[in-house]
Amino acid sequence: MMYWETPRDIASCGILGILRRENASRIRADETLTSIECVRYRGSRYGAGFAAYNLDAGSRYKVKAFVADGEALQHVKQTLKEYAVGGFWELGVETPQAKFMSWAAYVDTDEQSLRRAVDRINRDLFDGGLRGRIYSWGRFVEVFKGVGYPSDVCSIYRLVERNVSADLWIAHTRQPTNSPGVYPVWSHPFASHEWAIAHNGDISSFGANMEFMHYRGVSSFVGTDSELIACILDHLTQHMPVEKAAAAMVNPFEHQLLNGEASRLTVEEYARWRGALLDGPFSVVAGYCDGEDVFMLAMADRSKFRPLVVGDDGERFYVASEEAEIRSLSEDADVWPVKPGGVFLASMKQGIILTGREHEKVFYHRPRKQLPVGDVVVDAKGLSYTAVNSLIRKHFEAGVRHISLINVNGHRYLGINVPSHRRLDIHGTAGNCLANFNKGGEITVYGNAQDDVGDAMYGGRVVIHGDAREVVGQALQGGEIFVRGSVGNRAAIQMREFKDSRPFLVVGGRADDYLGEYMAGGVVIVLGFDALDMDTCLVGRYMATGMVGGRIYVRGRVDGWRIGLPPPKPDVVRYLRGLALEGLLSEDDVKYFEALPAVSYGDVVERLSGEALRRVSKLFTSKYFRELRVEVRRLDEDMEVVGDVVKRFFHEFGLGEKLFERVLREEFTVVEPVKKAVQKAEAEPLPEEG
Amino acid sequence: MTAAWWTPRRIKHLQQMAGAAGREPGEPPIASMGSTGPPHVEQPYFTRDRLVCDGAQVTRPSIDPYREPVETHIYLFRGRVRLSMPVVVKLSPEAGPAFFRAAVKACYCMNVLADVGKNLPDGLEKYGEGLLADAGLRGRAHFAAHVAALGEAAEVVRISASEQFQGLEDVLKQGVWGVYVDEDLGGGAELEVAVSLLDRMLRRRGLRNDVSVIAGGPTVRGSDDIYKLVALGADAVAVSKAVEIAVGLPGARAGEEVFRERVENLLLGFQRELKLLAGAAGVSSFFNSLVGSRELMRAVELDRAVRSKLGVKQAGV
Amino acid sequence: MKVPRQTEPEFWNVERIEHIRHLARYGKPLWVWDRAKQTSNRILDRIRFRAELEDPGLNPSPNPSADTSTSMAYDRIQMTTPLYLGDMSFGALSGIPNIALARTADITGIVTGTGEGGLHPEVRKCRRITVQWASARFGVDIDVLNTGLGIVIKIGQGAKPGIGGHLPGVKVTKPISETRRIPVGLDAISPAPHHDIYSIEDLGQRIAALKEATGKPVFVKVGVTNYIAYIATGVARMGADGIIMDGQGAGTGAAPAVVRDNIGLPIEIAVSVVDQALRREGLRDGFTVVAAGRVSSAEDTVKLIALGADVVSLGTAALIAMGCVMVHKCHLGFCPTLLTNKIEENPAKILSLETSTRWTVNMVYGWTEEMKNILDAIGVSSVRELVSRRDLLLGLNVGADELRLMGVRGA
Repeated sequence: MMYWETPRDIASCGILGILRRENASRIRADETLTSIECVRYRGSRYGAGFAAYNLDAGSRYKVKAFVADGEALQHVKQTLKEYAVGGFWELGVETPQAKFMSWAAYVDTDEQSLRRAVDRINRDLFDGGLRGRIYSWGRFVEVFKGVGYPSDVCSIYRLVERNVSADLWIAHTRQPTNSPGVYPVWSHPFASHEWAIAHNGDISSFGANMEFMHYRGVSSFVGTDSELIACILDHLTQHMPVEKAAAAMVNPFEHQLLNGEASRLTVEEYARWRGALLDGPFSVVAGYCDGEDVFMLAMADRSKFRPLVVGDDGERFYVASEEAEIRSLSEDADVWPVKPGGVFLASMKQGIILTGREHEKVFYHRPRKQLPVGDVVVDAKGLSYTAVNSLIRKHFEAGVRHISLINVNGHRYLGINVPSHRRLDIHGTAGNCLANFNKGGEITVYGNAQDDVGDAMYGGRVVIHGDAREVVGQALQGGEIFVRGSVGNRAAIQMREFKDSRPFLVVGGRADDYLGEYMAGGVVIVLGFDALDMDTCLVGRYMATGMVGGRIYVRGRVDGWRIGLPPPKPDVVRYLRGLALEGLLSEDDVKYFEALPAVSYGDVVERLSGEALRRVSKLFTSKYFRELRVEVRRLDEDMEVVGDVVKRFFHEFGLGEKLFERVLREEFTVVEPVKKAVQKAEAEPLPEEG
Repeated sequence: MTAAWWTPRRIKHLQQMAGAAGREPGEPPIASMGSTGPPHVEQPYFTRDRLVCDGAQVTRPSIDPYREPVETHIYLFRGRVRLSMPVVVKLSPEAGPAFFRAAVKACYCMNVLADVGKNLPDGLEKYGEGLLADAGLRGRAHFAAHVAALGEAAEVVRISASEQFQGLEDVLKQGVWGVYVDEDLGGGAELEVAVSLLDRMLRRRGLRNDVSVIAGGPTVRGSDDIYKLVALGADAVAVSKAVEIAVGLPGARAGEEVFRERVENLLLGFQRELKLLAGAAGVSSFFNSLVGSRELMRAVELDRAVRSKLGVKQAGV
Repeated sequence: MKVPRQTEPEFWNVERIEHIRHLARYGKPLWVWDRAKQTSNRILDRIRFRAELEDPGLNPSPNPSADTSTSMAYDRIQMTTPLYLGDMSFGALSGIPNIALARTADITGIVTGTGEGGLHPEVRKCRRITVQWASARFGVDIDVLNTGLGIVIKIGQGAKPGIGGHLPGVKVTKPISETRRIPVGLDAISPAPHHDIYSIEDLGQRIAALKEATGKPVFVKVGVTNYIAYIATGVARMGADGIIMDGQGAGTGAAPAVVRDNIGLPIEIAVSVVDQALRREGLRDGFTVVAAGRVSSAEDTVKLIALGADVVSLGTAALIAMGCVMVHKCHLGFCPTLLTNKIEENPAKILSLETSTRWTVNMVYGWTEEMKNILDAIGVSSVRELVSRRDLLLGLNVGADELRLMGVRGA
């Protein structure tokens, strides 16, 4: 039993899921291919794959296996014969030229026998070196995967030529970091019974997950965490509904568990299913069919370390790593990001069951199209980002002042090195790393942007008429970034300021977790003006964690426990109980804190004093702790700081005086570090230029 | 105090965290320049000195415990008992009554279990839910669990560190809550080997999530040992000598208050160090992702047979 | 400054320090086979050249003939000797040492890494430097990125893989505060990960973005962790020009002791498995492998190249050349040799730039002469030919599994 010697495959990738509504037409292979090929650069020639779900498939299992040679194939057939109660019908080898041939057969048997057969075959073909693998064994799902880009795999199985269509497609393009030989067994999707999944990420709980499944009917592993995810989903959903399985697998934070937010998972269940939960970055899209309906599930890890967006255009539901995949098929779809630790679930017959986050229609919009203006219009369609950037550079060097770039769909690294007094308009969906390292110039996006906008930007303007995703304005040190819609995790992380260079990030919608993490300067303003009549918080948790400078304004009241990195409430409550047992606190005090949804340092300072406060403070403070001042107030005294920039923001998006005035009359939560004696920077020759 | 593995470096580290030395209680000590630790500079004393831990780079992110959450909580006994970190403090009355009482209180406040064995000084009954106590003390207070040797009835069975688990089979069938590998009972095996084999044995029987594993004793020197033992399969690691040394025993003449503060700071320091180690490996959740996750370690020049018992791969793969 | 008595186990013992001081003072070799290796127990110390076993008492010749020239980044950067000085930041070091290291690179024809913390204006004038893009992006803008010969994306370092840079508050004085744009007196702890690099494809994306913006070679620096071979092949596939691997035992200005002492694997193992993996995948040619971490002598350097590295990085050794006596108090800011003390605006005493540069330059020359002597002794005429020549090595009392993995025969 040497399973721990399994060589580990670490894959990174692009994922896609498309599910049709019951009254919409089936989805063709070529459509799926067009979409996944949009993120070809996320993958490589080392692996890709598809899974197709059809509700009206037959009642027999279609079993597909990769085999290295005739002997391995014989073994597969022999074993299937033993377990196939009703017999099996060979469909033959689909890819005779490949190093690992793909062989298929219909098998008539019951679920338990098939499970045992699959495990037995996979273990036998794994001992002493990989000689084969059963990679697809469902009634309603068929996996097509191999070595190559998605277009190559499509060709291998002739999915387009044969006009293969489905109710649900899962697709994947793979970026591995190893390949001892190039085997299709490491390609996604990974299937276990009627579940097929594609995954982007590298789960750090791999060891724990492997141990979990090892004693639950899976005796060999090819070595990818993705395969484990498929096994775990399959296993858990035999014991609980899929909503609960998914809520558990995203590994809820303890506070979510104790507040009943994780699909009412109990502590006892949390302990029982230990090892089945996923830790580490992941975005997962999974398909499932129970014979009645077809489901598409998507899960994002609780720190949102991988991108994951979902879409709906009235006919189809989409799950994708990047928005570009969705826009390539559906220009007008509503697209929104799954929240950190979020679960999206939709079915062909029921529609959306879980949206992946709250209030998605309020905060995430389809940006309106605009006609391109400017001196020059550049069409990005079909061009690589290098070619596009090269064209832009040439035009600016030739003296053009205003360029409009059209048909942008996921192009990355746009807007690097835009000279001052020049303007670049982007029409479409800007890809990752927009406006990185920029020092000047103005970049406007008529559409949504993606991750990492304005990284290490030292000046200039970025105006986004839609949403941005994770890590907007990382180490932003000058200029301003305006986002009409919402932003994701870690916005304004490490933002800094210098002398007279104070950067601004203004967000019209909301932000998720870690807003202003390790911020050392600059100003962030979150307005949420589409939610003026709603009672909802505009930020997630851990706002201003590690903040050492600068200031954050969030409209509305932000609960104290959302700010900073407080210790777990059970730790605090237990400590306070201990103090009560020593007579330093009353039972009432303890009950008060127990009743709070979470306990912040502010709560403790407000209620306690003397020895009790001194004692419990050790849980909240440390040598790296920086006290934050949190005030809720109107912006009257802040107009000098924020007035101009917010006015500019409203003007930029044509939002009108009345709204501007209404928003500014609201209460804002203002967060900044308590000032210690800080010296002002003097006019001395600087070690590096500003 | 004379055991060779209590090097000046180790002692100073523990005392700084407890606040018995230095000026930053509760803080993981910072060092500079290259490591002087085992196995290649300082000599290795235990197998765990040949185990090195993983760091997350490139393929997945590491986590900043100063700014983002790393959850160190552990649930024992099918969710009945919560610990804020995988630590149990084993107390002995030989260390003096002031220390004993202080440690009970500190452990309670910091939400770790104190293993009091057969001793429960007066006035400490109210801390019962934070205590592991001998089955003989049944009835004196409401304890977290009772511990007894094989043969006696208790929720947790205390065994020696050995590679065989005779007698454990029946006990497991009776639905015991936990198994506690106590170095003080001898047994002949190294703690790390006993823990790893016990963890695997429980998994083979499909009992791992039903039966908690506690393990430890006087050779546990700090949070690195705790981390490695957890990764080898322990839900909680028992520390005894390390706590005494940290507060300045033997020799320190301090009152209960001072001892209590020192034990609290030591535990706080352990928790922070554990977060640093786990965060560096990209693990944000101890309970699910660290316990028994041998994948996070590698062995440097360790005998193959031992490596196999531990289930740890060799360094370089 | 005299070396203080070392009461606890120390790798950089008096013999090693005196050897490096000899090189720094005279620029001439002291020995051929490193005598200090007998005093320590790394795997690297127990791997020997067969030639040494045949003639251990060999004395250095004044005219060794071997050729130490090599190149990095698919031949874009030429080197006179396979040494890289690096990556110690302005802040970790007190300024003068940073300049000395940068000037040494220009004078001797090697490369110095400037670390995370921006460029001192004097360092900016030097040409043969790499700038570092680290998780906090301290002191780095597009102009800085365009300076020097290349960019190093620092993912991790040997002393604390998985943890970001750490400049203790006492060292965040006004000059540092201005360079890094953070408040005075507060610890500057760089984030643990790059918050835009959470996966291998994200790394590829960042490499491409930096190349798109500057056109320069991009290296990736990592600490040695599990699956280092897969990480290295991933780095190569993602378009980097080279990898800098920092093994366990490497130096640091400040790190939590528990991390420094427990995370990370030895560089000698990493170099061997990475070299073999890159070759297997057809990724080795032109891609530069730099080995770092406790490199203490020319013999260490030559061994690491024989195990599979192209270039070897010196960190602590360079500091010792400039006078470091291993007090291990860099994080407190009171370095008695003025190398890692906090940077004051009007310091009472500073290091002599002229002297520290001279010592470092001499060290490089002396080191190189010792390397040439070793190459002559083992019968290899150039560093380029030495790469991956594991057949020249023998393991004495090294575990069989380790030797097999490293591709080295046992005695």
